[in-house]
Formats: sequence, structure tokens, C-alpha cells
Amino acid sequence: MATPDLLPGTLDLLILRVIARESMHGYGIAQRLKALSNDVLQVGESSLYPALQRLLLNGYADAEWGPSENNRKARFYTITKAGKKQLAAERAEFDQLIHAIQQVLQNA
Amino acid sequence: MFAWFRRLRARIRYRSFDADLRQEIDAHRAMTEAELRSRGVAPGEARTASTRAMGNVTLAREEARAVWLAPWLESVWQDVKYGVRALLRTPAYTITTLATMVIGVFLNTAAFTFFNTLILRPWPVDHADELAVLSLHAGTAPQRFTLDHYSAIRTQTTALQSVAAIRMQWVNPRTSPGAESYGTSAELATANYFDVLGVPLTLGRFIRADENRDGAYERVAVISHRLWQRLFAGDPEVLGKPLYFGANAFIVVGVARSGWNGPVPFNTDVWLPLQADREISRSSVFSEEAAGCCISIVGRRAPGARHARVESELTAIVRQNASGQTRDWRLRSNGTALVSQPGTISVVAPILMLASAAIVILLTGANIAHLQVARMRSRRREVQTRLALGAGRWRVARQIVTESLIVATAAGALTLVALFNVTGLFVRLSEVDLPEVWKPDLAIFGYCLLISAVMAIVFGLAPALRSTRMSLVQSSGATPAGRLRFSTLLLTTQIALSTGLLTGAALFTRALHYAATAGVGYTIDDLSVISFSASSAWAATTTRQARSQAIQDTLAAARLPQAIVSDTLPFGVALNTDIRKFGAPPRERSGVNVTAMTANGFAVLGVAFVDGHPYADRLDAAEAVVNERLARRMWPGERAVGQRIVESDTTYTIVGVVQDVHFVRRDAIYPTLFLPSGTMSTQPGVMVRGGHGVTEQVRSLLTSLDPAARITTRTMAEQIALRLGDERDGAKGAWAGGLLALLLAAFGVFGVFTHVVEDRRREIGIRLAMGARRDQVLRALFRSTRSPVLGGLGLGLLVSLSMGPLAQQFLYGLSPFDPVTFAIVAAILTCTGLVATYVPARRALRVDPAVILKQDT
Repeated sequence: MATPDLLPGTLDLLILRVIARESMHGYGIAQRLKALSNDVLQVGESSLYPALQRLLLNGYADAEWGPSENNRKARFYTITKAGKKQLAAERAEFDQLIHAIQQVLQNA
Repeated sequence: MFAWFRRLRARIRYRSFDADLRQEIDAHRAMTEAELRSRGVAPGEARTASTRAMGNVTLAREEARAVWLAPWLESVWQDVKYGVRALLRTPAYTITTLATMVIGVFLNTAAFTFFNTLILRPWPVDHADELAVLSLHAGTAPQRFTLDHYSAIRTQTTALQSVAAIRMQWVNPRTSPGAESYGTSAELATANYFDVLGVPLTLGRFIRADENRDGAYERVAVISHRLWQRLFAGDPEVLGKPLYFGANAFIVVGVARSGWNGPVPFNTDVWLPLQADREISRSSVFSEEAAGCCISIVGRRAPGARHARVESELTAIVRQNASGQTRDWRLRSNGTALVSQPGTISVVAPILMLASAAIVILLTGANIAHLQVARMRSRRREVQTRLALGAGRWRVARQIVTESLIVATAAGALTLVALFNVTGLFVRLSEVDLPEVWKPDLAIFGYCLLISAVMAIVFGLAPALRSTRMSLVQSSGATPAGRLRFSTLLLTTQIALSTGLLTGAALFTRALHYAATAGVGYTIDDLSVISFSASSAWAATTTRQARSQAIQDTLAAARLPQAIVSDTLPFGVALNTDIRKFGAPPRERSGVNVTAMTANGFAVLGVAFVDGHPYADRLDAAEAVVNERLARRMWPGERAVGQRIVESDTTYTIVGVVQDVHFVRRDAIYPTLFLPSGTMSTQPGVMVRGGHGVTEQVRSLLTSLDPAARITTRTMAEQIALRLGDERDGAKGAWAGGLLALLLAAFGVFGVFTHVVEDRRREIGIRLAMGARRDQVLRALFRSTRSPVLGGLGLGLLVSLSMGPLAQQFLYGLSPFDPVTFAIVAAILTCTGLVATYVPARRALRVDPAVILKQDT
């Protein structure tokens, strides 16, 4: 199944939103994105992990090793304070952008 | 900023960072597999499917890693590539900077090598950190250990697991009685010495305990790897061969590990039983008078025993075992590196070293900074363009510093190559004997690279930042005058310094030449020295007196009154003995130098008598002559003639006093006792005045006496020159230092002048366009470096002239104001200055004025 192209930067935003609720490991995040989007967003590892690394690099998330639900060693990502701020800012920006795009599509 | 730190941390902890990533992606795959299986896919199938679902795992990891590392690395790589290209475009700049840096780093590293080897490094033996070098002090005054101290310490210590006694002696071993001797130092040691140190042997064994018994010892010797190579050409059959000390043969029983040449200054080549001191030393440690003094003691600490414990235990042992005034005696236990032995080195040496290293760095750095500034001026347009296109200032500066770093890395590498090869080459060419420990090690490697990197960053950063400063007016202005005034000052200092060094070197070389040809106190022009080693056949059947007499008789029969038979050749091995006034107790004896030659020697050489007359040429006459210096020392204010002295159980009457002349060294006149030929236990030789023909005649006469003898002929000048070997090495070193300093100064002139020319390109262009002749412009340019060159030269010569009298004592009578020396140095410096200015000037003049004027900045 083809996954629609995400707007640049959107994946980071979606991940931040997912881990804002609770700490999660990479696999969990992918599953959650898939479930929440009714299987539309299937994030491949080659974009998921760079995105996670970007979050770490910018200090929006922290990572820690811990046991997963079926007792496997997994790396859990937690949103940081800076991450929450970024999430809020980007969300506002994104809403504005989507609104603008819809305006153009409907009224042109 | 934080991101930068996190990035740096990821770079530094790269391994764990990469492992985390790998593990994480692997966990992801495992979870996918588990999910597939829970959906009922067969295990094997699930694994394949999960792997397929993951796609290219390596790529995923690469991309995740790229977030952190690649942009960083790639931009550096880009800088390096661009830097190399930029450097190749300007070979003149690159080569000059590289050469300047190599010289600077080389001098600095050489200084550090010296410091490291002599002072910082422990002895090159196994577990050197466990060794304890003991020293004895009464209050603050150093005391010497005696044999009693040693035996008390050896029997009572628990803090040391083993302890050895050593005595150092200068010896002249030879492989056969007639062979050329080889002067070196020997350690006479107890049998456990190498065990205590942990030095393995290349061949054979060390001295055994039963070969070093009290009063009874075996004549055995252990030699260094170096001596093995030099005297025995590395002969694998060396064990069992004899090594002669004087007339006695010691049997070689072992060869030490390569690299072990005893403690600082690493020039020991022979190890002998301590008991052999009885025959090796003129004043043996076992003699009645020496009372067991003096020896050195070294031990290996027991496991867990610190130096403090060794000190307290041994101090108690020494105090309790010695009588009388030992209450304030303290024993100290130190490591083997000189730096850990307080009092063995003065603080001045390291400070001088650091200061000279700092000066070299400063001068090199200043020269590099000049070159860099000049380079940046010529690249103004490029830098401005890059800045205008939107490159950050820091980014452009980083690019420029990267270029300096590339040069520095190359310079560091070249210096290392130089250290490993050129040092060896220099040693081979100059025939200086450097011990094997002088080889560069890892510490030196690190130091060398560190120094070059620091130079590159410090002296590359300032010009880089300066040239990338965004300013609208910057491009039009020339360098502020203040900057150049500072450069002029630095240049003047450099030129003055190299002038001073070169003057010293030139003066010293001229003095050595002078020393070997004149000023000994008698004419040496037609004087020759013939050394004579009797064959073992003749030596076995005659006494030395008989041999001396035979030679005298032969020469007399041949009517050669201008030939002197002498037991000691001038400027050869010095013979010393102890004498005392007749009737004085033995402890009042004092050391003097001995010259034993036939009585005609005084007249033939031209040594004038101040008082009295020559001795009779018979041993039973027991007459002696002294020089003024000895007369003054023994009988101040009295007449020496008629006095009696005792030398090794013979009483001599002084019959004459002669003027002081040089017989042993060119830089000193020792108190000397003259005795008839045949009194000393050495091979007789002949001194003869007259040309080559006479020398050859004497030679053939000697050959007829003993056809198998070893006979060597030298002119007196050659004989003196041989003796000046160390001084020659010193002069070579002075030249090397002076020429390096000159080269640095030349690069300095070159750098500053390139800078000046770059600054004035526009002016040069205008002048040329207006019709100025090139030579006129050239003269105008020369004017700008004239003052530092001439000023530095003048200052250097002035300093040399004023320091001259201080150097007088090393000049063997040559005037410190020797005009030839000063003319040579002035010529060298002026030529260097002209060349260093001409090269950049010519480049500026070659450019078409139209091109220069079209450049708008």
C-alpha cells in the first residue's frame, strides 16, 4: 500500500504529538501512527529513525532504554519541555498552513 | 549551541551511539516479527517477512546516523579538499610556511627530546618505577656512601628486595694490547647489579657472585651492545674473548641488552666486578686511605614499599651503623628519572630550555603570521566574494584555519621524519656518539604534533578572523603602521639573534683552527708525533725501560738529536699521578700531570728553563723537572730547585723549573711533573722536529727495532686536532644552530617583505604606469626592509663584540674581535637578506600594471 507523502517536517510533529501522551519506543510509535491514521500513514524505519534522531539532536525528546510490554529491551522516547513548546508552536503553524491550503483549494 | 554539544558528544561516544542505534533497529525488527507470529505466520516465515518489511536496515541506520554526524564531517572534508587545492595554487607560500614550521617544530622538538631523555625519562629497564636511587645527606650537604653503608643496608633492609653497589670509572679498553684504545665509562658493580635493574643480556651472563669475592675476583667483563658492535663488530663468538684494561685482560662473559648504557648520561659500555676496582682505579675504594669511599647504591623496592618507607628504614640503618657525627644524616630514595632526584639538576637548565623553546615558537609563529597576513591580503577578493555570497564569517575563518592545520600536519609529519632520519644522518656525518636512548619515542611524537597544531591554530586564527571582518573601508586601507613597526622589531631581533649565533660559531671554528696551529707555547710547525705500540713478541721479552732505552740508543746511533723519546705523547692520553713533598704524610699527596720524555725534549721543543737545568737521562739519577704552575703550588714563595718529592715510592730531586706550556689540553695548563723517559707504564713514542724525511727515517728505525710494531705518524697539528674532537662537535652544533636561526630569519624577511609588497601592489602598479623604471621601484621596495636587516646586523655584531671578552677563555688565544670572522658573518647575512627580499619583489614587478590597476580593491 502506498503511503501518501507527508509535508516536510510533519513526521516530526506527528511523533512529538504521539509521545506527548506517553513514552514510547520506535515500533510503538509506528504502530500508533498507523492505527490513529486508519492504516493510511505507514512510516518506514528509514524515515522514522532519522526523525527520532532529529528530535534527540534538537533536544525535543529524550531516549532511555527500558523493558517493552513483552519484556524486550527497547528504547523509549519521552517528550521534553522544549519538545512540548515546539509541539505547540508547530501545531499552530500547521493549523494555519492547512487552513490556508484549504482556502486556496476551495476558493480558487 | 546545545545541539552542537550533543553532536560533539555523539561524535566522541561514537561507538556507544552506533551500538544504540543498531540495537534499537534490531529491537524494532524483532517486534515486527513477534507481531507477525502472533498473527499466525510460521516462525521461519515471520523472520523473513519482518526483515523484508524493514527494508534496507543499513540504509535506515546510515540515514539516522547522518542526522548527527555526516554534515559535520562532510563540511570538514570539504574544507580539507578546498584547502589542499588552495595551497597547491600558491606553492611559494606553502613551501615557505612549511619550511618555517618544520624548522620551528624541529628545534622545539629537539629541545624537548633533550629534556625528555635527560630529565623526564626513567632508566630504560624493566619496571623502572620500582627502582630506588639512594643518596645520603648530612643536613643539606650531600654525603657519599661507603662499602660499610652498603653492607649494612644489604643485610638489614626489608623495604628493598635487592640492592647493588656501583662505582663509576673512566676506562680505556682495547681488544689487544697494541690496539687503539676506546675511552668510555665503566660501572664496577656487585654481581647482582643487572638482576636489581632487571636488564636482560643479549649474549652470555652477568658477573657471578663467586667472581666478585672479597679480595679475590675473576677478570670478567660484561660489555654494552654498542661496544660489542664497535669493538667486536657484533661478533657472535665474542664470549671468552679478552678486553684489555692497561696490561690486564678481562674475559668477556656477556653482552647487555641493546639500549642499556647505564644511567644518565648513558655512556657506560663496560661492567666489571666491583672488586676489580683494586686494579682499575688509581685510588681504589678498597685501599686503606679510601676507607671504602665512595660508591653509589641502587635498589629495587619490595612490593608495596614506598620511597618514604625506604628512606625512614635506611636512615635508621645508616645512623646506627656509622659512628660519631651521623645524627643529622638522612638517606633519600628517589626514582631513576633525573627530574625525581632533587639536587641533581639545577632549575636553570629547564628554565633555559623552556625559554629558548618559547622564543623559537614566538619567532616561528610571527613569521608564519606574516606570511598568512600577506596571503590573506592577496585573497581579499576571494574572501569578500564568499562572504558576499552568504558564507558565515566563522565558516570562512574555519576554512582558512583548516589550511593552516593542513600545513601544520604536514610540518609535524616532516619533522618526525626528520627526527628519525636526519638526526641519525647528522650523528653519522659528525661521528658524534649518541647513545641508543636518544631515539624519539611516543611522548616526542605527541609533543611534535601538539606544537605544530597549536602553532597553526594560534597563528592562523588571528589573520583569518582579521581578513573575514566585514568592513566597507577595510579593502582600501594598507596595513596600519603600528603593525609593521612591531614586525620590524621582531625581524630586527631575529636577525640580531642569528648574527650573534653565527658570529659565535664562526669565531669558535676559527679559534679551533688557530688552536691546532699556534699558541701552545712552542713552535709546532715541523713537529711530528710518532706513536709506537710494541708487538707482543717484543713486549714479552723486554721491560718498558729496556724498550725506551733501546729506542733512545737507536735514535742516538742514527744521529737524530732532534728526536725525543717520550712515554706520554702530547695531547694524547693524559697521565696523572699523586706526589707529595718528601717527608710529608701520605694523605698530603696531590694529583699532578706527568710528562716523561728524554731530557733533550726541552731544547728541541723550545720550552725555556726559568730556573735550574734539565734532568739527567738516567732513572737512577732520580731527577725531575716541574713547570712553574706546579712549583708555585708546591712551594709558594720558595725556590723549587733542590726540593724533593715522592712519586710512587721513588724520591726525586727537582733540578729545574720550566715555563708553562700546553702539553695535554689546548684550553688548560696543568701542574706538570717532568720525568725521564721510561718511568711510566705506557708505550714509548717519539716526537721529532724536522720535515717529512726525518719522520720517515725515525719510522724506519723503529720498524727495524720491532718489525711487528704498530706505528702511527701524525703532525703535531693533527695530534692537537684529534684532541679537539669534542670542541669540533660543539662548533658543528653552533653552526647548525646559527644556520637554522639564519634560515628562520630569512623566512621572516621573506614573509614581511611579501606582506609589504602585497600591501603596495597598487602603488607599484601606479608607479610603473607612470613610467618608473623597474629598478627604481625595486630600490624603493628594498628600502622598507633595509632598516631591520641593517639594524639587526648592527645590533647582532654589537652584542657579539661586547660579549667577546666573555668568550675569550674558549678561543685559545684568538682575539674575540677577529675581523675575518665579522666580515664573513656580515657577508652571509647581507646576502641572505638580499635574496629574501628579491624573490617577492621580482614577483610584484613581473605583474602587468594594467592588471594591478584593474583590481578595484
